[in-house]
Amino acid sequence: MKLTPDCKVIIQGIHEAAARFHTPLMQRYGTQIVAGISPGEGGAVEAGVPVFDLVEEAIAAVGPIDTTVVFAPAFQAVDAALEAIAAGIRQVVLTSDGVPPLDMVNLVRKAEATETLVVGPNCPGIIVPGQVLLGMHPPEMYQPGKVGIVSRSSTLTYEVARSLTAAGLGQSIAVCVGPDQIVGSSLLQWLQILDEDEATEVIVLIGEVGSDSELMAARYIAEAIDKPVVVYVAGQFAPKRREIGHADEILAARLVGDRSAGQVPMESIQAAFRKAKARWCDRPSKIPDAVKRLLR
Amino acid sequence: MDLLEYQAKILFAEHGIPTLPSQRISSLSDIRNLKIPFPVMLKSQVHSRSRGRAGGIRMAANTIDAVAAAQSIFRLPINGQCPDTLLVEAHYRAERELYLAVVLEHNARRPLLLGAAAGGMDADLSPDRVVHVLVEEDFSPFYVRRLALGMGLSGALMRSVASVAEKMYRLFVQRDLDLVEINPLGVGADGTLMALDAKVRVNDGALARHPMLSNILQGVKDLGDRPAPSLSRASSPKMSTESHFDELNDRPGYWTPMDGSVAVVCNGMGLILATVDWVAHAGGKAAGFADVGWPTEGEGENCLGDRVLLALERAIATSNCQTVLINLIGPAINGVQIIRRLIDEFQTQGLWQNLVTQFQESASTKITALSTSQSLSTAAHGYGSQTDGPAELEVDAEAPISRGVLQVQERVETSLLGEDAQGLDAQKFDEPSLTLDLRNLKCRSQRPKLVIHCANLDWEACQALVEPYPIWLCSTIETAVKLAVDMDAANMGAATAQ
Repeated sequence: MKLTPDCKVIIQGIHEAAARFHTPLMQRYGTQIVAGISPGEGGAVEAGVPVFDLVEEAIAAVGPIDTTVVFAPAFQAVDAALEAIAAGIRQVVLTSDGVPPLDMVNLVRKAEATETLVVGPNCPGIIVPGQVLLGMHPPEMYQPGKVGIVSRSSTLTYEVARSLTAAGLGQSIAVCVGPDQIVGSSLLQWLQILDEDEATEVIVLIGEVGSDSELMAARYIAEAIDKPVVVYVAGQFAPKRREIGHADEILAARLVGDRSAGQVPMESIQAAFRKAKARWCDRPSKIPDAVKRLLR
Repeated sequence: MDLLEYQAKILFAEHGIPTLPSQRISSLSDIRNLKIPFPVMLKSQVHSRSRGRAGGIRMAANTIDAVAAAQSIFRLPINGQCPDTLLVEAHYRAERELYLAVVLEHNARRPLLLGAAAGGMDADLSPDRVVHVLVEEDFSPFYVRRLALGMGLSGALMRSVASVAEKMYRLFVQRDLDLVEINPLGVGADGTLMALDAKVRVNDGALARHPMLSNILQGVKDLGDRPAPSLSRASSPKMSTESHFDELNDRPGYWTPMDGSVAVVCNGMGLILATVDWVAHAGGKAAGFADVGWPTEGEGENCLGDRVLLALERAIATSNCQTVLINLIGPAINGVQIIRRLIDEFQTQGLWQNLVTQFQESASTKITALSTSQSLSTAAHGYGSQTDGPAELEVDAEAPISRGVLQVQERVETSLLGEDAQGLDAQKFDEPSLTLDLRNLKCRSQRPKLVIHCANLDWEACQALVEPYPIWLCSTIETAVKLAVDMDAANMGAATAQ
């Protein structure tokens, strides 16, 4: 994994509205954007960088690329990612919203086979404060430090980062894996990355009720994570989901052994994190204090 | 979004999954035209898993039976929902019932095949009774043979069950589905298979590339001449059967009601859930929430401001909230612009000058109407103190009213799309004078108070802007939540004292 200021980056879908907005912000943060990709727009210049029709053309012109940040529309996003992987790029940030889950299944199969790190879709990507911004995090809310953040929610990541920064607690890496059903990299993968990351001393995990991934993360922390973890799972007071199919029950039952649950209940999630000795916060504003105590 | 059984079976038939001869009826008179030989099964077409237990599935041996059964099923609400359509199917005698499903496994991030040797309404589908086969690599039929063998089947039955599972898998992939489930899959005396029920969940995000699914869904309700609900992601109207928050992620401005009194408007589902948690910890209760999402291309420069306003209208129209907590954060959020949009609305006698009224129609039709008309508000306010007896309220046809009439019309139409409303002809609001039957009128003339927390605000400029209006700006979410909950408690206290 390469998340340093000398990381070479391309923007796929550089003519999309979100790309036009965020590319200059990344550049201002020091991210080295060396080319843009926009099928049919080869030869143009956008945000001061050359635009190519194909990723391989960009590589031929500007040299090896470490990371692509994809802004292509939902139904073209996975194609863009597959093109980047085929061209040898091994870090992919998918910001696109609305990517169909089965497209993601195909991408995940390819990413696993090629050991490509995929973040997203529907996410603001990765920020290493003071070093590199790969995606859409608002940089002014972050400062360099020792707290690693891994989250499923974009805006909640910003809110937590901002409150940590306000409390004088900088961040080592912040990543949002996205709230979608099928994500390129899971909370588990990022827990492992943060556990191994030398700059990270405390991990903050932010989840949302209504999926299995928080429970899986809690079990993984109990098994494999040595660094202290602070956790907040949003949605304790959210309305419960309506009646769902047998299949949902079967899947939930595999995890919690209770078929009546339908979705993994908050109590099971909380119990699993307590068992993993993670510090549980019942609202995001309690995170800075919890982190402070662990840093001492 | 879940399909109804008959809709799912259209897909099954298309993919060669065996289904019974069937016919749809939408009224009792349709029974005369049944072409399926008796005995038949009549099945309520509602979103529920326990239709059978609830009495929504009945057998009929002849026309008289069928009329009686249909009459009772049409009137039988299941999960608060009466069917628009019944599915009439040939009767099938199953020697044995199996369970099959294809679903996405989110942790392994692969499709998962599920099967059980004993299916049906009362089947025990606990983990040790269900076979799981993960489709790790590209699909090949050995995966479904592994499933069928795992279910303890052998010989011809193993092969035919595997074949049905393969067709289910191909349907799942081809149509971007979230779930395909057959419970039960009937096994006849001769070993043939029959999908006796069908559950299909489409993926809302992928719907745009499957016009056929959209067409099937357009038939969800018989809307007559009224415009069918658009299924585009940004503008899906509220459908009464959907209150499932997972489905709301992609629908900016969509309002999900809860039972408290502080309305929550945020961008991003995570921030919404956290803000609802915050409100609860501060001693308040959320009236509901709306996700205004992100600015999108082609929607106008201040689309987020428009969506905040839309969310507020819905919040006010459908709940008792007097306090609205707006919490926004993100790189592309222009707080000043949004606040200006809200203030514009005050100045142009929009939302804040409005009277919010709820008309309780005699035919249990609930219509929520918003009007900018001062005379309507005054007149209705006067009327609001009377609680019984039918009355008519006339609004004169002067210029400022036209917008009010239009809004009333919009609201009525929106309500009609979302509910089973009858007897209200939206056309009549095109008339220059508006006449509404105002039985059981409830009205509120108080403006809601807005508490806003928005990252990256130009603080001084905004404070000066909002000063003349019932808008409070807070620098942290904690203070915003506390203020909103305290204000709400004061409001509720005042209301109780009255």
